[in-house]
Amino acid sequence: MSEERDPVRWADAASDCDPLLRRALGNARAGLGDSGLPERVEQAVRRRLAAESGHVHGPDPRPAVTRSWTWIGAGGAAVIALAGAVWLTQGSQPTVMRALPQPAAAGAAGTTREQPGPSNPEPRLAPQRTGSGPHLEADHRLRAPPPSAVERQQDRVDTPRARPTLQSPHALRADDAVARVDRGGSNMRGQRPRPSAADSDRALAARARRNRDPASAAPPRPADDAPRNHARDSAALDHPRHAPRASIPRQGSAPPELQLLSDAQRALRTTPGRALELAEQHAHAYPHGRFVEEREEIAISALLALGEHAAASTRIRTFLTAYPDSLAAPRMAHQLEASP
Amino acid sequence: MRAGSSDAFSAIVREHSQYVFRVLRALGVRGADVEDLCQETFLVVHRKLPSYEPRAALRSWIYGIALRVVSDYRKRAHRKREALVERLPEQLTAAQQHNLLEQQEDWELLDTLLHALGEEQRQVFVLYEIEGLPMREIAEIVGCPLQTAYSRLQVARKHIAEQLLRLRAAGGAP
Repeated sequence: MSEERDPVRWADAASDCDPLLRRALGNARAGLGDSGLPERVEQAVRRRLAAESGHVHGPDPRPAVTRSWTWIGAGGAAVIALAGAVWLTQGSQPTVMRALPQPAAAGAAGTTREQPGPSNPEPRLAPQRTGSGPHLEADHRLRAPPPSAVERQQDRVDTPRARPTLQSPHALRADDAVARVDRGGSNMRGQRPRPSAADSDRALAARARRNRDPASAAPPRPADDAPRNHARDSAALDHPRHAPRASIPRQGSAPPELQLLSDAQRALRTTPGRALELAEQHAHAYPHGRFVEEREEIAISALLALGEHAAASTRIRTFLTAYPDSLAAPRMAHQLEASP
Repeated sequence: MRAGSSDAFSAIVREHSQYVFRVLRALGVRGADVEDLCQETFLVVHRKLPSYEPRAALRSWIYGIALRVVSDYRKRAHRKREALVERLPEQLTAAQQHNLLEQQEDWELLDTLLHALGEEQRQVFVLYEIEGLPMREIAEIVGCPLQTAYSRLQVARKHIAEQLLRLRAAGGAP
C-alpha cells in the first residue's frame, strides 16, 4: 500500500508517535463494526431513487389542483402557439409577448407589472387587450407572473443548472412556444432541464407566499442595479444562452466565486499577501456570496501569516460572532488565544 | 436500474460504505449527519456510476464524491452540533462497555486534534493516517502535486503534535 517515500504511519508500531495518539488512530482505523450500515445505506438510496423515478413513471403524486394547472398550461401553450401564428400573419403582437418583460415599452404600452400591496395583494400583469377566446386563456395562464430579476437570480443560486429561467412549467411551455414562433421553429431552450413537478410546486408556493406577504419577499434590489438587471433579464429571455449564471459577480470581469477562493487558498501557502488580496477581491465581487465563511477563514490565515495579529484578532472575533458553529471556530478561537 | 448495475451498486455499497462513513466522520461531519451524508454520497455514486472511467481506483473516485458532499455540507447554514459520545447499549458487558467507551474517548480526542487542522491538511492526514492510502493516490484525490501532499502531511503532523501537547498542558488529555 505504501510507497517507498511515504513516511511511517503513526498508527504503525514502528513510528515514534505518541502512544495515546497511536492508539486513537488505530481505533479510528479499525472502523465501527457496524455491520448493518451497508444495508441501511443501500435501502435508503434505493428508496430515494424509487421516489424520484415515481415522478416519471408512477402515479402523479401532486395535488389535483396542480394537475389541473398542468392541463390548463398545456392548453394554454397550444393557444399561445396559435396566437403566435396569428401574430406572424397579421403583424400584431400576441398577448404572451406583451407578458414578457419589455423594459422600454413597459410604461408606455401599459403592460405594467403591478407591485404587491394592501390594495393589490397579488401582482399580476394587467391585460391590455380584452376579448374572448385565446387571449383570455393566455391571460389566465399568465396570472403566474414571470419572476423578477432577483427571484430568478436567487433560483439560480439555489440550483444553478437544474432550474429554468421561468419557474412555472406552464410558463416554460408558453415560453418555449414563444421561442419557437419567434425563431421560426428553432427552440433555443429545448435542451434546458425541465423542473420536476415537486420543484415547480414548491416554486409556485414560495411565490404565492411572497405575494401574500411583501415583507418576506426577496431583499430589495439596489436602485442603481435595477436598469442593468432589467436589461440583462430581458436579454436573457431573448437570448437564453446568454442568461446570467449563479456565480456571476457584481463586476463582470471577476473570476467565478469558487475559482477566486481556490486561488486564494493556494496562494495562502506561498504568498499570503496575494491570498489576502484575492480574499478582498472576493469580498468586493461577492459580498453575499456562498463562500463568505471560507473567504474569512482565508483572510484570517493570511493576516496571521503576514504577522498582522491585531487585524487578525479583530477579524477572528467577527468571524466567531458570525459563525459560532463553524467547523473552523475552535481553531479560530485557539488562534485568538495564541495571538500576542 | 438494470439488474447488472444493481448488483454492482450493491457490491460497491457493501465494500465501501464503512470506509465512506469513517472518512465523513473524520472530516468533521457530526452525529446523525454522517449516515445521511453517507447515503448522499452513494446516491451520487449511483447516478454517476455509468460515467465512471476506471482510470483511477474506485475508492479514490468515491472519496472524491464524498469530499464534495462534505464540502456542500459545510456550506449549509444550519449545522448541528451533536454529542460525540453516544449512549452505550445496555446489553453490553462491562468489558465491552469499557472498550467502547475507550474507543469513543479516543475518537473524541482525535476529533479535537483534527479540528486544529486546515481542511487541506486534514484531508491528507485522514487519508494517510486513518485510511492508509499511499501518498501518490492521495495527491490525485485531493488534486495537488505529490510534494504538496507530503508537505501537507508534515504540517498536519506538526499541528497535531503541538495540539496534543497543549491539551495535555491544559489537562484535556491523559
